[in-house]
Amino acid sequence: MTRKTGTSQVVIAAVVLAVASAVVGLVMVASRSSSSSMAGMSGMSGMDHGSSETAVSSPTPTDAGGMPGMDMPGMDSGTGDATAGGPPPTPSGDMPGMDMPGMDMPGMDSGTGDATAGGPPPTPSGDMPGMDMPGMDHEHGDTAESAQPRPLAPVLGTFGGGTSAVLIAAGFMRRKDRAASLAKKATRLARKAEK
Amino acid sequence: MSQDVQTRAKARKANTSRPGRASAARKDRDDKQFELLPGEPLGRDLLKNRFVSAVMRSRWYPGAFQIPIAAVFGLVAYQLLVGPSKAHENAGTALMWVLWWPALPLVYVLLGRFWCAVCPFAALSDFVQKLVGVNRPVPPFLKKYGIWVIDATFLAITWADHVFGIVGSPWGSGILLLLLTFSVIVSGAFFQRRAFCRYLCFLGGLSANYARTGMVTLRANTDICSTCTAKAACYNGTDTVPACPLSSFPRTMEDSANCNLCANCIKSCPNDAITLTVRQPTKELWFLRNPKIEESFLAMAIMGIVIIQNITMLPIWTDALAWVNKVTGITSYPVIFTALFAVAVSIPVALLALAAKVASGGNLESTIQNFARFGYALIPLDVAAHVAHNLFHLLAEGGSVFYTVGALFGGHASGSPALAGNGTIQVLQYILLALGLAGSLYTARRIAHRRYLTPGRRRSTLVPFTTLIVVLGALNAVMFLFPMTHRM
Repeated sequence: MTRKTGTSQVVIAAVVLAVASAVVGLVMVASRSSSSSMAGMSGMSGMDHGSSETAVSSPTPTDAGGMPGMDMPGMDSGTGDATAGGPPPTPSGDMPGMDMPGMDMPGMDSGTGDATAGGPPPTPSGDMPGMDMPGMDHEHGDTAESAQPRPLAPVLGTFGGGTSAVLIAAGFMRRKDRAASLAKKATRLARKAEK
Repeated sequence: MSQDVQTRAKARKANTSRPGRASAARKDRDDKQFELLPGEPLGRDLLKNRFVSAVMRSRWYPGAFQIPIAAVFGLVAYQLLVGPSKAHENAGTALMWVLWWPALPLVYVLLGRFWCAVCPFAALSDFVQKLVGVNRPVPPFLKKYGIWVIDATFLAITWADHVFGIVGSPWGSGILLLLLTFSVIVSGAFFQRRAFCRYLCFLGGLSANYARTGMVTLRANTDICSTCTAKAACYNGTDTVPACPLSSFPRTMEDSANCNLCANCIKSCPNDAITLTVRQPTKELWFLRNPKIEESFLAMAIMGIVIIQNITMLPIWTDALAWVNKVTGITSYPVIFTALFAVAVSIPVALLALAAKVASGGNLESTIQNFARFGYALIPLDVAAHVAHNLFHLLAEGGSVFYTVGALFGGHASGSPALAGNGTIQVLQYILLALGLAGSLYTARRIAHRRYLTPGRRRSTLVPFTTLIVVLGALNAVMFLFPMTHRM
């Protein structure tokens, strides 16, 4: 009984520690993202729009036929009306079928606006005005992460906190298990000796 | 009049009951014959080769592979989390999604679940287990429903990739790695052996299915095992060799789904009863005895995932989004994507269910039995479509691996990331699809011929499933006609 209580105490402590570290991490992420969106509102810094040439040369989604009723907060219509909190604006319109394999040069940002395959920047926001895509950006292989600072410290802190909690809990449980099995052995030996 | 009605009723009853009795008798006969059939025949034992035997029995195997792979994964994780934020500049993204991910299904076809033996997550799990492992038994829930958890995880990750961004975002990929690492640590800390790899890893589920088409298989010689007095050393391990990490008992093992070729059983068997043989790809699928519906479901879900991955890279995708938007008025991309994703994943499952329903009318087995049995026949096409899809990334973007990794060491080389031209890639994709299609058709035929004795039952089974395989093959073939977008 005592052992069970001790084990559950350790588990509860570990869970509390893990949850606490997760909450702290989330709070830090939230505070960071709000501050970064404020920065984005003031100067739109870090908003990667793709090359202006592309924006000029390729038809914007609105030009290609805007979709009424698609205006959403944070959405990118290709006309430069990006709002804070949303994904970075993506002025270059995506031309379906224009993404030619082999045309992508690493390190060279062509701004062709092709969305990644099966990947996060799927095509819609450039192609579909008003389509709100979290984490999406039409510049080549580029994502919202390029515009926002990565919350590395809180994420790694949460990961480290959670991992430590798990390891500590498991360590205590193993110690208790071993102590219990030793106690059992001792009892057995004592009984044998009595006989 | 009433007599006439009675006579007619009796005749009707006789007409309906006669085929019923005959079919029941046919079914019983087929069932009995099926029970008596031998398992998969084994080929030449590779362990008779001195070099292979030395490698597999070496204490450096598989550690010699694990260490460099773990080092590369460490670099990948570092790059993803703190490296360049643009995917096409990030070596982690290139190594993970352009090189590793496309190469993985190829490894499964050639070597079964070998990757799982050298996976850095498995090494981490072992390390945590040694450090603090409590070694609790795997909960019965996981044993029973683990594969469904894998099915759900696989779908959830694919969905999250499109909605939140994982593949094209180094940060998203880094978070995924951290989540996986944390899950592995939890599993290693509390549960026995590699519980995560066997019951929870989405890649493990994929590899378990694909490994059935693998060309290398490990089995035990049951004649020798029947005289063994070593108390299942192959399963429990010895003082010097760890137990089977995936909790497989070689003596009763009938498939390669849960064997990662770690060679622990080879090292611990005192009787040299373990054999390692080469076989034709997909051969294991022809001899399945106990098909499971969840594994068939996973095969179809993977087919759906490959379809949706292909579609999202095609021009038609934007049209589909626009159409859904126009019809429903919904503007949220996650909502529209979720709906289309659900449809795309459901289509292969629904088609298999339909084929199973049609077949059940003729082969006297239930729809569920047909679904479970013939879902496996789709695995070769699954693998082929998956490899063909990934081949595009490997060959059209493979150069980015050199450039981004070179940049880490101060190199400034640049150029086209394409390793092969569009035409070459398409030809290879179609060759792969043709092989997969042939493999699936042949597998369906072998399963039907092995399971049913009568030509009628075979025909009524093969017609719907052959149609299904051809339809899914054609769907993939059409999708590979169009130019796809890049991953990076």
